[in-house]
Amino acid sequence: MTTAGIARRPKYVALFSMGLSDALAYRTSAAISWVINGWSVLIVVYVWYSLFAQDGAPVAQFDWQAMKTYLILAHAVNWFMQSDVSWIVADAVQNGNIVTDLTRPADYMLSKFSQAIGGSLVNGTIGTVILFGSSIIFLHLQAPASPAAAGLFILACVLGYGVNFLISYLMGLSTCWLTNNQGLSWVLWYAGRILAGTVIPISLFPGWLQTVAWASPFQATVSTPLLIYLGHDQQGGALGLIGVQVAWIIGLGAFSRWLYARAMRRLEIQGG
Amino acid sequence: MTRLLFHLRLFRRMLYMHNRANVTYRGDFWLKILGLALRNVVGIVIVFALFSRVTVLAGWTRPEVMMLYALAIAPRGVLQLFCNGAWQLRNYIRRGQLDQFLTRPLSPVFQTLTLTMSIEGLGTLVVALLAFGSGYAEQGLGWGPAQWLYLLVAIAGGTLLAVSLDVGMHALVFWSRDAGQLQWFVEQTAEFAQYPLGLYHRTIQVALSTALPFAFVSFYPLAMLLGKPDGSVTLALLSPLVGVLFAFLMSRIWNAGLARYQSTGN
Amino acid sequence: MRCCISQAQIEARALTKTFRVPKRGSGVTGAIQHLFAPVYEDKRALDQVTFDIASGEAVACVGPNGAGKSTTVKLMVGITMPTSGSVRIEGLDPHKERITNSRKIGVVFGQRSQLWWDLPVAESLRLLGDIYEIPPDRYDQTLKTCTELLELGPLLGQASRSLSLGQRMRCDIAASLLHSPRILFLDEPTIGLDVAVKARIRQFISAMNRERGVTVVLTSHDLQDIETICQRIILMDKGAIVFDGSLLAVKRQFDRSRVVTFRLREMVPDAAARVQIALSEVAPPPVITVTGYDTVVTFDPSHSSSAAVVAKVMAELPVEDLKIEEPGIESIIRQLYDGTLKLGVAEPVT
Repeated sequence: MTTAGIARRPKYVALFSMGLSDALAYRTSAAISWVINGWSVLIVVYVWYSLFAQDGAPVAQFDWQAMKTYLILAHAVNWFMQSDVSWIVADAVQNGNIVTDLTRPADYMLSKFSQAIGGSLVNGTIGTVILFGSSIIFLHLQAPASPAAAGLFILACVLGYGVNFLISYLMGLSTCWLTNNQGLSWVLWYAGRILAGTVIPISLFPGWLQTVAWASPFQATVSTPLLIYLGHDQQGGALGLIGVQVAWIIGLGAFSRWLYARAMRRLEIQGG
Repeated sequence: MTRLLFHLRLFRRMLYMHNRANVTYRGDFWLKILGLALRNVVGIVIVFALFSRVTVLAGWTRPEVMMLYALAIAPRGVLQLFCNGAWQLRNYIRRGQLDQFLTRPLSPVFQTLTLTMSIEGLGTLVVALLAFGSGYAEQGLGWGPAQWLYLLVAIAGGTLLAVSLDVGMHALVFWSRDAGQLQWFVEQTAEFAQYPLGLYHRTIQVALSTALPFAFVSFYPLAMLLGKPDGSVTLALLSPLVGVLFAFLMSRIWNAGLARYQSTGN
Repeated sequence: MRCCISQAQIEARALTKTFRVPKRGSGVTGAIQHLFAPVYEDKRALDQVTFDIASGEAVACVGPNGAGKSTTVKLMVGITMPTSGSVRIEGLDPHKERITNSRKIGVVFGQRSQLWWDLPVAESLRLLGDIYEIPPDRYDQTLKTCTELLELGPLLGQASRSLSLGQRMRCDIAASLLHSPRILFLDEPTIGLDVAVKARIRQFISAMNRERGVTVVLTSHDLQDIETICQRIILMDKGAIVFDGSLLAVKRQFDRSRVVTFRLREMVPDAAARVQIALSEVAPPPVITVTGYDTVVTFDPSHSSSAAVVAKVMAELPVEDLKIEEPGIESIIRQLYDGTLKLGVAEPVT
């Protein structure tokens, strides 16, 4: 496909730009998705607003301003992290197209990752523009706790994205063992939404659920960046929270490698 | 009348068949039910978090909000369980299945709706039942037959509204392939009805009582049954009719869309 | 043949179908422009198509992609309505009286199954039985016949998703015949199937047509399908009927060249020149080539008969053997697909 005169790109860069241009083709519908997703966040924002209007005292170190910022940003970060990698991998396994992917001289997971970040970059940029614009006009979100918090927030978002990618990737791979992984992905998706702190901050959970949440990888996706942004990172500090994210990436990454090897062996036995 | 019986008989047959197909993947079947149950538990987690702090929200107590929440999600559960086909209309068109529907002696909308019945809708209904039951028991309510009858009619009306909007909004794919987003918007809006209307800005309250009348699914009926001052008996009694009205309006959209499909082809 | 009341089972009169397709500029500007002032262009998929199909006929609708075959089928089964003109199935408008019409027809779309994906085939068939309100005894009887002829026995208990393409097509054909339709429409029924399955399906459809009198309307790119099943062929190109008649008549009308090879007993050095003189009265002038013992004459049979040409050449040369080649239906259709078929040059020889 390479024509003379066009510089050859490194393979993962090529896959990245493919994801990028795919997403660019759907930029309008991506922008509309942000708005519709924001519309449903309005429900919880109203609910908490009326609670704080009734009783101005902060709830577990969240005052109204911080709570509003948390709810909106948490949904945004969650939305930014979504990728269809779970579905893509599951589909490739089920209809056997994974064989084509495996004939290519590229690492499967890295290929999927390159493609996913291409799409997320477009999606994230659109979201940031919309959020920033609406914050200036009417949302009036709270600014990051400090310039350092702002920088670490972005870093934590990137790491959280990695954790979320690995969870989705693993879910896709699970199709090698489960003929249908739809049920499992639904359970993980909705349980993950709660445990990630997307719906409400984890510190507002009942004690036992907090323990479960802190032990799960989901909190490393949404909750961590948000706590850093708001400066609610007393326990362990921002760097400690980021360390936990890195640990999850290493752990889940190693697990993915291992599961992938097992999955390939299984596909070989089945005769592909 | 015979046509109605014919459709009912077919419907029962399809229900039986879908259930057979659904249990083919047994493990997945239970996980799906659990998944949809969890989806609705998300909202209940919020309710509990809120009421750990205050006792009344916009004039409603926790058990009352639990009942409200249950009424708001129930129609979606019935829809998932019995007629979950509309969301795939775009695929039916692309794969030519709609053409096949049109060669059979049966209404295409009936075939579209019943092509998928998702048993996991039980997950939604179970959560709704538990939330409603716990709210009812906690308040020590003692409704008479009239109240229960009204409640059933209200739920039927709410379901009719949900199904109608589902069909009508998905039928927009006859005009544009991106119409799914409008449907998504409507579905998200339905979630506003999970909490008391008084929480929201006036504009949203009006919208929920007119153009996207989800307040008639949960809020107005329950406000009357519980005798809440922010309800309205007139609007509560009108609730079932809203479903009928929307069934009429949305069937117009569907018919126009199908006529367009049949005259322009694809 | 036709008297006062039309006997045709299917009647198409001046059928015209125009599609409106949006004409969109490229990029964002184009998208925005389309939003405010959409520009459409009309595409004529079908133009003044008229034909009759009598009960019991087997008709093949043939033409390259975009010729209008599928549109014609969609109009006949009532899926779409014509822009102008009319189509009647046993006197009924198939679109306006879709439900009544649907009981009379069976439709098979190749590559699209009408069976429910996750269900055993038997369940799907039973549900179709309910939808078409087929009396139980007739249902059992039809199913039995189909099961025997299409060898469905071992397939009935399996879910549709686990069947091979050929197995599924056999079940699909049974599904479309359950309600004993009087007309069977088949859109590319053998596409993607292997040779053995294709043969069995052809045989079955042909039997249905000949023994039960089911009218068959078939679109296919597979010439074997056409030659086995159909007596009549409708050739379509660019939304219009190019030819409508028997398979034999197609050959007659489009047979624009006949190739006769004469093998000589001995080498004749001036063979070409002698043949040319012998055939000087034949118009348009034949093409003559000589290679070794073979002299090949290519001429237009609509102007001079083969017999005359052969007689003249044999009178001139010491012919030992001869071979007359006529183009098969296949080459005619290939020419149609390539766009090289010469249309309407001569009146059909009848």
